[in-house]
Amino acid sequence: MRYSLLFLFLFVLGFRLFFVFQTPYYSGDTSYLNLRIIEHIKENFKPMVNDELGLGGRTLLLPQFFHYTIALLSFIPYAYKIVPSILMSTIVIVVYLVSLKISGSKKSAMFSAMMAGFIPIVYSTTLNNISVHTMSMPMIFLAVYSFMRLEEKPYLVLFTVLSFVLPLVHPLTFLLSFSLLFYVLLMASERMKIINVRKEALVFFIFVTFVIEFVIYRKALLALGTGIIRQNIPAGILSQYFKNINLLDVIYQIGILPFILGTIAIIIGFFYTKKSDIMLLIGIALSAFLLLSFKMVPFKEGLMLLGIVLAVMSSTSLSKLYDYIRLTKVSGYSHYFSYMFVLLIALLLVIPSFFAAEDAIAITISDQEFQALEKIRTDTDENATVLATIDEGHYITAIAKRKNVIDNHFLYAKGIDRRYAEVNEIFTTMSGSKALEYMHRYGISYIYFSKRAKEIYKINSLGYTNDQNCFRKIASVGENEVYKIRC
Amino acid sequence: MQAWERTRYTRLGVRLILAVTSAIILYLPILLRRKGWLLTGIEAYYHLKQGALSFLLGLIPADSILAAKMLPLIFGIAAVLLFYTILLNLGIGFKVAFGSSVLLLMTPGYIYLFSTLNGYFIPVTIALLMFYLLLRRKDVFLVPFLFVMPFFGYLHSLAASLLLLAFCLERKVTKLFLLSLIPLMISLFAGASMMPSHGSFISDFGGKFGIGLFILLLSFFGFGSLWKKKYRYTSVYLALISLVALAMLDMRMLGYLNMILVVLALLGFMRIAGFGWESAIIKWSTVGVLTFSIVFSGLFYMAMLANDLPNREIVAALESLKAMSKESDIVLAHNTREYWIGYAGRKSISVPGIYSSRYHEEALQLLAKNNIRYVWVDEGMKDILWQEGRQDILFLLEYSNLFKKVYINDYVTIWEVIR
Repeated sequence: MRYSLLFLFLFVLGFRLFFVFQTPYYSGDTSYLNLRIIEHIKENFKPMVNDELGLGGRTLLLPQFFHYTIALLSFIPYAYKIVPSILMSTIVIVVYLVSLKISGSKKSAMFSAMMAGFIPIVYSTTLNNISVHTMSMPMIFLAVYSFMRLEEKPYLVLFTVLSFVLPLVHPLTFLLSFSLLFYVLLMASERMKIINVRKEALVFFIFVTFVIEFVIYRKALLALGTGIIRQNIPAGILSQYFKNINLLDVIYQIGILPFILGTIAIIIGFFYTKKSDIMLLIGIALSAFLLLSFKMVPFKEGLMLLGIVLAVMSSTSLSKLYDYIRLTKVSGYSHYFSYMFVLLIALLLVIPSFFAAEDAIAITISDQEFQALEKIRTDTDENATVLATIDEGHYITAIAKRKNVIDNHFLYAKGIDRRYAEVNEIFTTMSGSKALEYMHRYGISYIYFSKRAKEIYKINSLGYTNDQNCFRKIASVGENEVYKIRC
Repeated sequence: MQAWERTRYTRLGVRLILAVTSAIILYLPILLRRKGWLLTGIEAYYHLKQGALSFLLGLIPADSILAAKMLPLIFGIAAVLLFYTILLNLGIGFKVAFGSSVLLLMTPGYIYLFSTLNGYFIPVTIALLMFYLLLRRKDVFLVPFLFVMPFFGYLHSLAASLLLLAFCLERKVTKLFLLSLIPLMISLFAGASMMPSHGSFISDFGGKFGIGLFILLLSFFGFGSLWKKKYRYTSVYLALISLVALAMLDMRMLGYLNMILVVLALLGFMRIAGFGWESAIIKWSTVGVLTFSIVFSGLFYMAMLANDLPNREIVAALESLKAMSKESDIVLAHNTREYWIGYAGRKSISVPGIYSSRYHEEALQLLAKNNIRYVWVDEGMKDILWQEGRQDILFLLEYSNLFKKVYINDYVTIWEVIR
């Protein structure tokens, strides 16, 4: 089974790398923010707190343990492509361990690991992406695994270390804290006793998470208060981050197999099995679902966690299924069930993941976009501020190395709603004077009008660029244009 | 040395430690505040120019700014000593009394109350003194203070009355409570005015007078240990509920609530530390993290207070405004700047609608109607206007010939209205 697991890990890694190396760039502009942070750390050995380019200069509030790790491993060739892929692929090993712990069946645990390796939303969110979640997801489940084995000293130490590290990776750790509270509630409702060391670890984990996140986000907390949950995301695009939960959408994004098997496992676990470890996983699944329903956790992040936890839970359903088959007359053919199950995983998870991966690569920045941004870097003043869409803000700062007006890191950005509305107005208005008024407000000296912007706003040109005296096109690469503001 | 003498010296030593520590903690935000930054906040400037506090400051034979910095500090030392003595007199034990007092010193609520000039540090200290007198059954000395409280606002009288009620229920003495209702009535009928208060209940979420997040979390654990003996602590529950209700009316009443919560937080801390921990690693890590959180929260708050407005640039701009304008000139500024400009001896107004005006005629009309001579804009004010989505006047100020920029520094710009 050890070799099978190694093979699965290599297969998932190979699957990811196959797509990752189809482009020299990264998917999603957040990768470019992370890239800048990593480069900053490599140069200065300090976390990037003052971002001089983002939004024309801002305080960057972000845990940066992940960035330090990548910076440390950057000696590896293609580190920014390979290291996140390796980190995310380790999820199969961690899921295997957790599944084995709860089901006691190696075969079922292996199937769970397979499912966890091919969850479509994980591919659409993390593939070819310098994403913090490539580290946070495996780490969360490693923390869960060590929590399950706290009675053993090495795991106690591991859990203690992870309790400090996890909040330094991503604030999603709050979801785990919430899950642990939910676990206490579930245990209490079933009159089950939590062993002392778990109680202690639980209290400790919650306090550590609060303290570390408080230290990191204290400025944003002061400015936003409890509104920090919504991350200061402009109201206009809040629904993209905190979506209404839709069952079909959930099934599509996490795959039908983990959804069905995981749901069955939750029912069996809660009403029949009633084991402490299973209650813990039910706590995670339910709290993720609850927070998603109340729009208190970003949709993609919540769904990724839910998908993986359902894949883990599936192992108990499968183990029960195998136990049942063993009792029947077809017990001699149980290996056929395994083949059938591998086929089902290939059909229902690997293929959707393949398409999700293709989509992730398709949205990657193109050569022409890259060249246009390079032109901005070479042909414009170093202190210039360049306007681009919200999804291209980090391209401006990382590739063109110029100040942007807006990007998708909203925390601690002042007047973000108004900024967002006015950026949209500049792209869509027909009035040159109105556009100029806003441009002066933000000190914009160039507009990067890309193919992407044209698709977002469904326009072919800016409404006021006929006025050659004020707006002069200085570069055009394919459908990507750069305008200089001269008034 | 006799045992009773040793105890006396120890008690004195503890009080001395508390007094010195509180003096250091309360002086730190003043010390960290750079030269020329004057006092912290907006409210301080109101009290410097008007109200009972300005009268009191006038009696002190010292520079008014120095007096304004030192007066809350002295009251702060007195408050923590009273707090400690009260806890000792309640028979709560030395460990809890001393621990709670130390915890109190690190809370944002205490630091704000006694390191800035505000209308609350005197009534809170008086309330503590009243409680102390009550415990020592010095009823005769108590009565004058009951009549002093209404001068600071009806909520303070109400807080004092409710705390007395909690005590009277505990000790079954109703006469005093009835007496405390008299000044409450006076203040209600007098309609004592108060500064508006806003913000969050939690200091770490932006509430200046708020409770520290970790104090609140720990106090839940402390409350849990009280709840084990449900009806034994009815008076504590009553005091808690009353003070939460009062804080809803005015956020600054959290100053009273803070004092009860620190005791609960310490009980919570002791409860957590005293769990039958199986794992020493987790026990010490938890205790370490909790201690760090409380200390960090206090230090962070001190740094925040030290960097609070008005800064050096604002003070310089106020001095320039005073030099360039006449006493009768009116300055347009956001209402949060009213007391600063008032301190500089000029009148400021905030005209509704003017900040969103982007047309010359409309702006001129509003300026002329209100006889405005200068327009004050600073970075902090821009943030407020930005949040409110009303910053169109900034565009007009920058590009219109109606205004002449007469003063500029890194933080403040002053325009003169050209007539």
